Amino acid sequence: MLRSAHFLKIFILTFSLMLSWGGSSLIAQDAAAGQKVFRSYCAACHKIDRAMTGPQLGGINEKYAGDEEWLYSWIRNAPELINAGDPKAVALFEEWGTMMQANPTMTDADIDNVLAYIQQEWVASQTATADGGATGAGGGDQANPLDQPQFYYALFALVAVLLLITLLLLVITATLVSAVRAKEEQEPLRLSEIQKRTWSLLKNRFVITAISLIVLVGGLTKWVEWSRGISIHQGYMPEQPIKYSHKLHAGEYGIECEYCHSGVTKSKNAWIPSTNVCMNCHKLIQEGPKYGKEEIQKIYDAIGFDPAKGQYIEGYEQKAVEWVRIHNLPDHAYFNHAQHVVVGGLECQTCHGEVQEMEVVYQYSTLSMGWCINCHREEKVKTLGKENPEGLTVEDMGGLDCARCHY
Amino acid sequence: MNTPKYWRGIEELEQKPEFLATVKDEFPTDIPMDQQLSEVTEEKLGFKANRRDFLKLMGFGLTAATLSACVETPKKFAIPYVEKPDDIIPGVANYYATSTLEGISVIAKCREGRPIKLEGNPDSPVTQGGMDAIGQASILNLYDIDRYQAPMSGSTTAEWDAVDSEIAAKLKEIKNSGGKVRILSRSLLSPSLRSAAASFLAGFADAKHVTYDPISYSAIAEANEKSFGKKVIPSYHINKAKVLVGVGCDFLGTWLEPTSQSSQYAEMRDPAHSQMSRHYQIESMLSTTGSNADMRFPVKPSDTGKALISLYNAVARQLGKPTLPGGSFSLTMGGESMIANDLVKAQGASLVLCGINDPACQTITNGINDILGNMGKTIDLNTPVYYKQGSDSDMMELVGELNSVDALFFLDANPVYDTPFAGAFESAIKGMKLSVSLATKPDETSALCAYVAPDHNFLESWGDVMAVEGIYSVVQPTINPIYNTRQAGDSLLKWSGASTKFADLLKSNWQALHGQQADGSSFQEFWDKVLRKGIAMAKKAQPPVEGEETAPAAAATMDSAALSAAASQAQQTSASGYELVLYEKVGIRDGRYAGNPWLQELPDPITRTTWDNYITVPFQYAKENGVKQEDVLKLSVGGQEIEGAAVILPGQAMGTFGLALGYGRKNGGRTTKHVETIDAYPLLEMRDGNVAYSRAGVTVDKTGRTYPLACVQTFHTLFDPTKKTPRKPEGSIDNYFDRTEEIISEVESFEEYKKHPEAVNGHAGTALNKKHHLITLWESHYRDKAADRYIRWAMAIDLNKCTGCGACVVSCHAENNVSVVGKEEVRKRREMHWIRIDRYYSGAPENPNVVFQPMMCQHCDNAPCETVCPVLATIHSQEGLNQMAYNRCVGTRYCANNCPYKVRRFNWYNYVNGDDFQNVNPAHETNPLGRFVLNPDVTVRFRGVMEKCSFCVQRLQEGKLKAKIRAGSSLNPDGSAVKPEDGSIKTACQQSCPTGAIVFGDLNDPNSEVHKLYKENDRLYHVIEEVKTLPSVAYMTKIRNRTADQIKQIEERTEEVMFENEWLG
Repeated sequence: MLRSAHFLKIFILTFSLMLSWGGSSLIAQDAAAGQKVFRSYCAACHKIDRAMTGPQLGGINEKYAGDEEWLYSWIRNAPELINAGDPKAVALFEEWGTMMQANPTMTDADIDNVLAYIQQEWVASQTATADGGATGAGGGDQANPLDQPQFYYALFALVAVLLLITLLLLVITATLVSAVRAKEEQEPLRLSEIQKRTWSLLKNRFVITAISLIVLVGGLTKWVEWSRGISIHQGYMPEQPIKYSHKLHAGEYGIECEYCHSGVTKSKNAWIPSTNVCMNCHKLIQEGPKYGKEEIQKIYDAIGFDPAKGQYIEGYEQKAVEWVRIHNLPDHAYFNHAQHVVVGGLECQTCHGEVQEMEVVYQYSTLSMGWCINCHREEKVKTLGKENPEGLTVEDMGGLDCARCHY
Repeated sequence: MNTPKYWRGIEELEQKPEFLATVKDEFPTDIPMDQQLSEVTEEKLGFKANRRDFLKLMGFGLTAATLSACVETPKKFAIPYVEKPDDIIPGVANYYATSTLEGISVIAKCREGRPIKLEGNPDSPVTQGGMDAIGQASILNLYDIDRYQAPMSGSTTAEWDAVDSEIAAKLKEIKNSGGKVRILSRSLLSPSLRSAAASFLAGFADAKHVTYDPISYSAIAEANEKSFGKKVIPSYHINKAKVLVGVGCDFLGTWLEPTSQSSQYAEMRDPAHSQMSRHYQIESMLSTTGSNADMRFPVKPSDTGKALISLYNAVARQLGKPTLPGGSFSLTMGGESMIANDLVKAQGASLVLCGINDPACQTITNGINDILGNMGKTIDLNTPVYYKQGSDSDMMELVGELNSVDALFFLDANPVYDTPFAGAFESAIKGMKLSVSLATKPDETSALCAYVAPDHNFLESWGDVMAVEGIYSVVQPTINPIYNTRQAGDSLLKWSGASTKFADLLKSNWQALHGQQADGSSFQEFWDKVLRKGIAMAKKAQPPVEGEETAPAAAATMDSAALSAAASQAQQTSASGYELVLYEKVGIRDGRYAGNPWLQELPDPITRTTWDNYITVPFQYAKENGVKQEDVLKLSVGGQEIEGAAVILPGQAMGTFGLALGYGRKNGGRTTKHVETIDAYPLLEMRDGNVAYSRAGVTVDKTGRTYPLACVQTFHTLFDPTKKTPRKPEGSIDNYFDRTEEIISEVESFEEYKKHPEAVNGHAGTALNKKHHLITLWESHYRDKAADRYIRWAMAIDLNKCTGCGACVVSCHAENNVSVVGKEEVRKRREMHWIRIDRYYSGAPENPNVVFQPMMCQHCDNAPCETVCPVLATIHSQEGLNQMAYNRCVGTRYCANNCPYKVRRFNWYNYVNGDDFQNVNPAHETNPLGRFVLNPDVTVRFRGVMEKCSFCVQRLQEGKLKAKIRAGSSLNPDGSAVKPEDGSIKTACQQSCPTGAIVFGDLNDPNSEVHKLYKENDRLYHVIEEVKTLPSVAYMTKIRNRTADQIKQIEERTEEVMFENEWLG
């Protein structure tokens, strides 16, 4: 709740700010489209609110107001400007030490959009900071109570209180019984008698049957539950050869999943990216924020790259990185990523969880057949991205047929 | 006694009780529990099992199993490329155009850099996208674990450099002494390889390239030289022949290039056209071609030449031309005048093909074609074909001078096995200064050679093919070389001292072809196009541009002197005693691929026997001499003796026996060791300078022994032969019926059919409107109206087009990872083919009518298998598929018992790790290379589960997905389902069929081809429709083209034989 309120606030602020700018050309631009462009072209090296490999992008619109033409050609082909000896470009190059790659395929509209997106995000982050972090502590409000230690303290206390009450009642009963016996001048209550009575109660056939039944049924239920979990590896989180962080790349830097897992729209496999894909960025980014050079060096060892010289080693015997496979479907099940992502329009997160928040990736879903079937029963088929008017589910289209996945 | 009208073996005709007892059950062998638990076994094992021991063992077993299951789940790895090649998309297939060694242009499907399936190239003007069984199986030769892995020097592996320098040194020595250098090869279809060989030989004073073919076609070229002055094998236009006569020529199965010939043949055999060709066949063995003929005349090999003279004279008489001397021989039923009548009516549109390797016979054939005016019309001497370039006289010359040859190179040649000169070569190679084999795989010849410079497999090679004059097809690598081999062209260039690579030579050779293209493209553009399309045409082969003048083909004139000489020679042929026909089988052919398990397990289309060679015996002989199937016969001819099991072959000419070539390899790889059988090559003899494929003066004795054969002909009976249902008496309206007539539907007269197409069967038009039972338990099995907007898969098979060639069987094998099980298992009716081609005979066994019927899962809407599965492992899909979920199957085998079509196959063993299957199943775990051929989209089935045809569901899923990805959705904006385009999805059997007999598609799409057939085709029927299974596979009635007179004669003879043998009640 708090989070959505926060978003609402940002939205209203942004909107009013934009309105107040009135004639600004930025309004006509599509910030949403800009986000896509940002992620595919810029996010690997730039952040909006702070500097990374490249300078901070927030405030770029103000900085280059009136000099848009230069900005556009810089974005499109920085190396050319630098080589041509443009003073502004050379100054930037000297300041940052790296050369921004050329993006000749970016259209003017793309640049308009991405600038609009940067502006929108920048304004939003400024507002949030201005708000004084009041909303900052709002996270985690929807956490599962079972995960909270307080829950277990409370439970323990409750059990203790109940035990105390039981003991108290026993004492009271014993006192009362003793009192009654004393009144009727009978034998006083002794510990041995209590023991004897308890024993005879336990030897009662009905009690024995009841207890055995409870144990048997309970045990069986537990056993069935447990055996159904055999070969389900939900939560499987093996150690990987490179301490690659999805949280950093996909979360903080906002790189699209598809940038690396590019098979997801074409093939049954999403693909683990080949090492040359890593090198697209890591040819320049040679140091990470957490592990420094150590982990990135493993990429260089695989592909044969000398970071000091900044070039590939000739005749290097390349070694593939042996990632540990997390999501293992059995051989007799056919699964196709393209089918689900392109045709079904599913988000990666639906099955893989919020990978952009995982420092180490683990298996989020059960990947059991029941889990597949449930989704096929409930998921409405989309017609070109929209829900179909008849409300057809995957099941209605034959999505439960055995031979859709098993052949 | 009553017999069915159609029968598959003599057993079914005779209906002996002992045979009937064996066909009663779906599974013939009981599980040998009694044997396992008997006291005999206990004695053998040396201990007596008691209850306590049993419990102890059980307890131990259970504990051991539990403990061993307690290990950690093994880690699996996902290893990406370091640098991913741009054009490889893991999980998505790439396709490359290339060509097989037989010259068939193909498309190779590659997954992650390894070819897994070959399909015919639809752009090829020669084969039109068809494939034959050996072409389909040739992909397995790439993954043959027995291949040479490195060059050999003697019997040890060596380095290329060492081998090259040693060979170069010896060549230099030979060159200086002016020694003889010879290259011996089979027909090389690659012009570039021929030029590489020529440039290699050019460096020597006495050098020659000798070409031979194990099955020689030398006589055709020789006869054409004598008759027309052109030493070529011409193009035959079977698709222009209204009357077709085959003489000892299996042009649909083995002769010349059967794929293109089959597709041409099918063009003329479509009953939908106004005219259908009439096909006569004169032959000794029953071949696939003969079994497709309208009229067939069994003739002894020694009479073939005389029959040709008679035919010539009959034609000449009608045309008023001079006749040839002789011609007293007459075919049965006055065959020659019957044929001559039709031939004369179709002058210029008829064709006589002769497959006898005898120049005299070929010359007379030329004579017949010449007086009929067929030259230049159905026979094109100006467009020769190069499938077979071997010359018997060249070969004889080489054999004569063998001992004086200094260096002999075997380029795709194995004369020690596949010629009659094994002994000569064997002794000569040993004494030769230099003998080099360029084989890909050890063979009988390479084992003797001093050096082996192993060639790439064709799928690893660069190359080109010109099989038909002017039509080129490219060979490009589809995989990196698996072993340390080198292309033959490169080896030759290297030894000739040239620095060019063969691939560059190839490109420069194609520069010339580029010059003939009229599209003005650069060479690179042309080359790119060629690599993509696989085909290029020389100018003269391209369709003529309108307005451009084309020179009329010069009419060849027949040399009449040659004709009369041939006639007198053919007339002289006389033979005493029995004769032996040495023939090729559709799967094994000349034995080059005998090590290919797919081909070994492919049942012969006619005898339906796998894995073995055997002696075919005419029905009449067997009856008179009491020879039974599998009796071992001793056959002596010219001092040579062989022993082999008998197979009774209806339709084999009286007085002849048949024996196949291509078997009995001594060094053909591990697969050939599985069954050791007869090698017939030593029986070949030279007759008048040509290899003769028949022997006379044969004596045959019974040995009293038997030899087991794996013959599948009477397995999987669709009708119950024990029921003895009488054939429907004339005019009866009782519900008497012969179940076999519900399986096979045929009409003997094309004319009758054209007059009354509706009378073919009562099924016309009903296929689309399946009627339900009035009462049923299984509503959901029927067509669901709500599902009409989605796909409903269906198939239609034209019995008129199916020639029985078996390409579909091997194609299915490759596509669906079907296990090879070996001879012993086949004998137990456990072969695993998902599609089989049932061959039915009818009529008199001495010369029966034959119908081929491909049979696979019929995907019944009311499937009997589905109702009996206790675990719902086989259920119906929304798209009409009868699905088989292997992981659910517990192996009760109820479904197979209940299947009326007998198409379900049970995995009795784990064929990928059983010791018995090590040498037969290429997917065996001990064979790291053979497994590469597996289709990664199809599960490899485990022991204890049932399997069957899935309509290639992996292809259906892939095709649907492609359409959906293109549309970006599974529903169109109007709410209709996104469907793949009709014809974009082909099942494996359909795709490889050279005649296009199989049509597959969506029945719910009113514009689909299969829908149109189901709706309009009056030949359509379902097999055993009366059991109400509502199949999704329909068949189209076979229409023969016989005259009323021919039908009458055949019927009379049948009746006679039936009474003679007391087969009719």
